[in-house]
Amino acid sequence: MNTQSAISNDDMHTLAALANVIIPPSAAYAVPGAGDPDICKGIAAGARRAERLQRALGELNAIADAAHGCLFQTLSDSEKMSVAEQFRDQHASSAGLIEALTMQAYYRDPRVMASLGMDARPPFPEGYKPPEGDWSLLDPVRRRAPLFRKAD
Amino acid sequence: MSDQTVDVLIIGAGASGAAMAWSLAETKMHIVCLEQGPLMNPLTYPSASMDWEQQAAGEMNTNPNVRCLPSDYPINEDESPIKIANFNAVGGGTILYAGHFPRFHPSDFRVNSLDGVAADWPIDYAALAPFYAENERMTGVAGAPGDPAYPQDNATRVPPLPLGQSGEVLAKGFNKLGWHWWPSDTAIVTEEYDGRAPCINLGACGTGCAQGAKGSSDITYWPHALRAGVELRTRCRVREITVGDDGMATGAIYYDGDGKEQRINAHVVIMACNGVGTPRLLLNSKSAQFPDGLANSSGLVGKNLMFHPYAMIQGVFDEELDGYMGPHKAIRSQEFYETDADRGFVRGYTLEIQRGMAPVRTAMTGLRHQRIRWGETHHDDYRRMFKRMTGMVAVCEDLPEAHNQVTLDPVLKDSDGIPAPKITYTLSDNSKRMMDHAVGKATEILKAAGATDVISEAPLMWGGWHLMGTARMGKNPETSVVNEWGRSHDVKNLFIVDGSIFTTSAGVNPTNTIQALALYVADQMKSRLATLFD
Ligand SMILES: Cc1cc2nc3c(=O)[nH]c(=O)nc-3n(C[C@H](O)[C@H](O)[C@H](O)COP(=O)(O)OP(=O)(O)OC[C@H]3O[C@@H](n4cnc5c(N)ncnc54)[C@H](O)[C@@H]3O)c2cc1C
Ligand code: SF4
Repeated sequence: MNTQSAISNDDMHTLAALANVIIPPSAAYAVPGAGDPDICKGIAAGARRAERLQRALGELNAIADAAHGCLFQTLSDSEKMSVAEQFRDQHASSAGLIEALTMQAYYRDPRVMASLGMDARPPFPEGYKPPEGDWSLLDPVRRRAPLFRKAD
Repeated sequence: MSDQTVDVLIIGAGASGAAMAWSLAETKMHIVCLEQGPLMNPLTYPSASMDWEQQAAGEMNTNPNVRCLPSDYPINEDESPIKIANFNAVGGGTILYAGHFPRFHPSDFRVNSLDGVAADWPIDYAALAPFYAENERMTGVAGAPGDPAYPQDNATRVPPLPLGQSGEVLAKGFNKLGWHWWPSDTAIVTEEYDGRAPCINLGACGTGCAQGAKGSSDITYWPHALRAGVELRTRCRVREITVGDDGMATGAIYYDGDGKEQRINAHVVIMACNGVGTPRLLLNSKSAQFPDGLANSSGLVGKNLMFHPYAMIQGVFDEELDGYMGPHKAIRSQEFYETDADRGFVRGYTLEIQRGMAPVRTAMTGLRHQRIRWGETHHDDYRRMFKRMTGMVAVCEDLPEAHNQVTLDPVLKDSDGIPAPKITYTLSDNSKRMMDHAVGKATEILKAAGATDVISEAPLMWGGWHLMGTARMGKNPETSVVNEWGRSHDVKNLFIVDGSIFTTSAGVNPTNTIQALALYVADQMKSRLATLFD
């Protein structure tokens, strides 16, 4: 499952740059971007098949190269966004893979969870306590006549 | 290759195999159950890890072609808009199931008489009622008595799951419209039950319940069946059922955990491999006597595959709701369950309320529906949805159609070289109209409840979790595969007890009915032991 070592440094740079385009850092919410080194490691490690991730990053760099003659990570912010959009259009399944891995790694980061008001922990074993709710809302339904059809 | 003879061989240790094994155990016969998957260890379920939602998308995915665990077999589903969801382990699909546990309605057994479509079941609600009650007692069901959408029942129930903030908001929407809703009958215990701990609202039921609150059959029936002497062999994948010169089943050939071919002889063979696994195995059990596959003189093995086409409808609200907390269910509505000709379709659907979504699922849903974007707007987009979504799915009744089917793929094979199943399925016009209706009505409810934005998806592509109809039950051997007590018309010591024997699908989740049927068939067998093969 852990494919981190299978991703080259260059690939990690490309991945971090794309992840920061997908989710940039935000001072307002006090959260890192998805290109943050810890989060990015999680994105790479999440790929069940490293070669699939490498291929996707290769496709992204090929678009950057064709449009600007350089690697994706060296582009300006606006160029990155435009290349990323082309990547989504031309390689939907690769872009979908990186998008999913990015969400999976980002929304479990303790800093991000804290900013969302969540405890930075897995659900088990503590669990959660949703409010019980007001069951008197059921009273009008209790008073209804049967609504099932007789079958005999 | 070892060679052993037992009284009863059960193939598949999922929902139905578990119930059958437990019920037959009291006969003290030598019962062996072969299961291709392992016995799960709940402590290893994803909800104990930070990356649990990633595991849900990977090794605990509902789709076997994505999951690709050693216990899985591949399925060719290229010709189906709805993809299969299952789990191959002791407990079967119940390891991942949500635990919605409704009964069928009385009218569901009389579809042809009432609505002139499909076929009537050869049994009725009254015949199953005691077995529903027994199954609910064995499983542990949360809910509330008195639902006007059902006849009075004798169910054992623990208190309902919390209504929560989401349930309250939606209940108000239903009430404004004067439409039915009720606490869901759910196979999740809200207090200690049969040595199991109560639900602590992890919200991770779909990846296995580490707490043991959800009634998956590995922790409901199996501990009792094992204590009563049933022998369970895991990582044993059956290739074919064998038959003798007299046309009776003689046992099975299977591959053990080391991939070695083994044979087991049995006086009675019971299939419990689900609506895809059972026809696959029957079709692969060809012989000179049964050239079209076992028990297939009707030609109906694999035919009439029914899912429940699902529509998903979610609302975005201004206020904070339950979000990731709690099991993703609380209430259901059956306002549109029974046929009403004015709606433009026959039969109906249940609206199952889903409480909210965990963080990653929120993001993926928002991205899929263009509510969350890449770039600077991402954080604001996300926060407009996180903990602010609730909604429902519509469980639409699927009618049997012979062209919807499971066949053997001519090329694709599993890791033991057994031909893989191929699914061919198209949505009927009736189903499409029903889903459209459900999306419209659910949108009305969400708006009445105060939603500021509504998103919908129909059919849910990954929603092929209810697998029914592929070896259907009936009195006539020309139009059904098993008789009214689960015995093959063609092979008198071969029984089928999983979802394949459903004559029609109803508009509710099937597992309570699958297990009640297994208990009913077991009861029929026990009461006919002396004349079982006549
Ligand atoms: C994600 C998800 C959510 C669901 N939610 C609900 C819900 O809320 N409510 C509800 O009612 N239902 C739900 N279901 C469906 C429910 O799980 C099934 O209806 C139920 O498990 C079917 O029971 P079964 O006995 O027919 O088959 P299964 O439980 O699928 O058991 C079949 C068993 O047979 C084994 N098997 C198959 N072939 C072989 C072979 N050749 N050799 C050996 N063993 C074999 C399999 O490994 C499996 O363990 C859900 C399912 C999923 C996947
Ligand atoms: S919500 Fe309840 S049933 Fe679901 S996984 Fe958590 S403890 Fe188990």
